[in-house]
Amino acid sequence: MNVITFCYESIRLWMRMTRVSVQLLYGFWRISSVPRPIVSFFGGARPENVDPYFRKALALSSRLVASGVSVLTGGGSGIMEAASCGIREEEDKVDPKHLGRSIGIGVKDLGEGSNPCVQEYFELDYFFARKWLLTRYSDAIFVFPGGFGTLDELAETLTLIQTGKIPVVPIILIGSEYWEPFMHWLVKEALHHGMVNKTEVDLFKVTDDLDEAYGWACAACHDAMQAKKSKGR
Amino acid sequence: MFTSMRFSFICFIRSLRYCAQLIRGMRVLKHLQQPVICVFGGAEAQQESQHYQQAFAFAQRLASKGVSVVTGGGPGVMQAANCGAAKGKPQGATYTNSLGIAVHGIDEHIEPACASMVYVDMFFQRKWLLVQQAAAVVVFPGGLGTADELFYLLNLYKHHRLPRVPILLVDRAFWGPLVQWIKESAFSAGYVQADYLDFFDVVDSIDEAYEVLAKQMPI
Repeated sequence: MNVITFCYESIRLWMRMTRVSVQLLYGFWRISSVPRPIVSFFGGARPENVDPYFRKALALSSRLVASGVSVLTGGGSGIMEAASCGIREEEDKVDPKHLGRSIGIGVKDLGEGSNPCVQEYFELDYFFARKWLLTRYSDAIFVFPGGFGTLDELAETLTLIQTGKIPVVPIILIGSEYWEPFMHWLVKEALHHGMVNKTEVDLFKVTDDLDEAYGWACAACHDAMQAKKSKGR
Repeated sequence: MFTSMRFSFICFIRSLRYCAQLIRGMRVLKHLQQPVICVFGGAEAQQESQHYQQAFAFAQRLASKGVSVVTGGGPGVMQAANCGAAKGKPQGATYTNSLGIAVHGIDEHIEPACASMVYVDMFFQRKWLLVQQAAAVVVFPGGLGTADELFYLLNLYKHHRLPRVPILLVDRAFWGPLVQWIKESAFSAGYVQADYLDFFDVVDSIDEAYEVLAKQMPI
């Protein structure tokens, strides 16, 4: 009996893993079809159209898209919608060939659905698969205020960078009023007790200034493109 | 064409490998003495530090009541909990009650005598395995990795992806500012709902943690 249960459990687990890896492969294929470099936006699903962070995300993403950077989000509402919608404002002004695209990666059974602006959208079964795709392909990451989901993504990215599982990319936290207490905790408690070290705290920057944020992200994207070109040769 | 086929093939082989690691991990977890308590914490805690001593004493106390301890299998708090559990095991007991789930190449330097080990390749496998059998989660002060595990759990609870178990954050002085930030900024701005704040309890000492646990599970 035990053997049968074990085989049944193993096969079920293996089928789930196969399903996830097929979904991941599909995700790679979809992401590789948009122009590089790619910038990720993390943020809460709650902010409405009038929220200042929503406006900021919108302004930032439309600037990025206009300079040919694609925007990768979780495909939901709130900040994710703002980041995807940045492209709407640029569509009429700029030749679509030079525009970036907006991609959204959703998770099934959340009841979120995709936002109206996202151009490429697909859904995965698991959160970890979404985080994997979001972190693996970004050349820079913007983190807007958000709840546990955003914090989960932020902490995961930082852990993966810290342990060398993914290359170092700039992580830019927008909204100093929101993030300052968090940074304070990190520096005062975690750094003070030696739980994190200085290089890990230096991995990310907090700012309110969109020009500054844009500059950091673009420098990183530029570097990524150069590295790719020289590798290609 | 061939590149993508090769890539797909590699992904397929890797998925088999990850799956085998998960199955092995699950088997070991199922053979542990139940209930299982999962301990997260910083790898940087030194042997003399308060958090190390706390984790050691707490795991020892739990183990003497027949509870197993599962950790991330690294140094610091994780090692303390594993060694405490190994030391607190009742005389003559033949079961295993101390397990470390380590990621290859990250957390490998641990005293091998304290725990039986399971190795996996990726962080997500470790996080998945750690929460599978846990009847409670105790979080000692830690850095980014600990925060990652904590928020991973909270996010899954928020979306009802996992049955809820009690989460205890030990050391009010350390976690206080973070919890206060969640309450003041994230909650008041509407990013976090009121019922999400019940997912975890902050306690100050291991005695308090033990009391809270004893109310919610038979130990």
